[in-house]
Amino acid sequence: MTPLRASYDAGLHLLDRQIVDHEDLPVANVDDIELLERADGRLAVSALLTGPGALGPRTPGRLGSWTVAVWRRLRPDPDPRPGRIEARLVTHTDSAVHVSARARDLSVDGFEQWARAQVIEKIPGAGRAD
Amino acid sequence: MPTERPGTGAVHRLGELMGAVVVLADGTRAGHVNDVRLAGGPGLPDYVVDGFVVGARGEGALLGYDRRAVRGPWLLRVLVRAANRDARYVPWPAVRRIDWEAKVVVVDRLDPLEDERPSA
Repeated sequence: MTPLRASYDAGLHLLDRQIVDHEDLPVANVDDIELLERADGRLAVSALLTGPGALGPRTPGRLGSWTVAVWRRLRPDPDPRPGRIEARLVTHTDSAVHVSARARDLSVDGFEQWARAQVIEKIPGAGRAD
Repeated sequence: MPTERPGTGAVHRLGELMGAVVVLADGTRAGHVNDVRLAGGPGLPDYVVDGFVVGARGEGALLGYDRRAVRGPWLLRVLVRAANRDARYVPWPAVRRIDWEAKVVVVDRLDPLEDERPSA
């Protein structure tokens, strides 16, 4: 197990890395990192953010705007939030970011589940897809 | 005082800092934030922003070859480092203010870019 490093250059070592659960099952990608402004003014890592709602704003130009717009349009809730994994759940990092929870308990794939139920499964022939 | 309203408990995204314009206190434009260095521990919630990797042209992290500890094909490494010999580091104590809406970081000074070590 590789412990947490003494320091991370976030864009190099964390962003876009695969997040895996305690059984090494894929969870999502690190699409952004949430920073909480502490009382002393320092910015502390509070969560990993996942999904189009986190990746879109990082993507330059119209592609990023469209990503967020489509994601918002397809989400059922009026004020959708990106997937969020508490920073305290991160146990270690190597080429991936490892978390202590089970993938299915993290509830960060809400958009994929909704898209599968509302869009993909309604396409003729989808029932035969695996 | 690193932000306009320090200690507000405000929530930000690291992506808001990537690519932000870096200016010195006298208004001189110094470059862009190419990466954000986090340091601390033992747990990830204990990591704080330690400083910013600043490049003149804002090409992003450049696969890390602008940082000495990163290994890679020597020719690519040499070329990227030569193209980014002006890369600098702004330790957190030198951050005077962050304007999140304008994506501007006002700093007091630029230090040489070291390997991936926290500034202390």
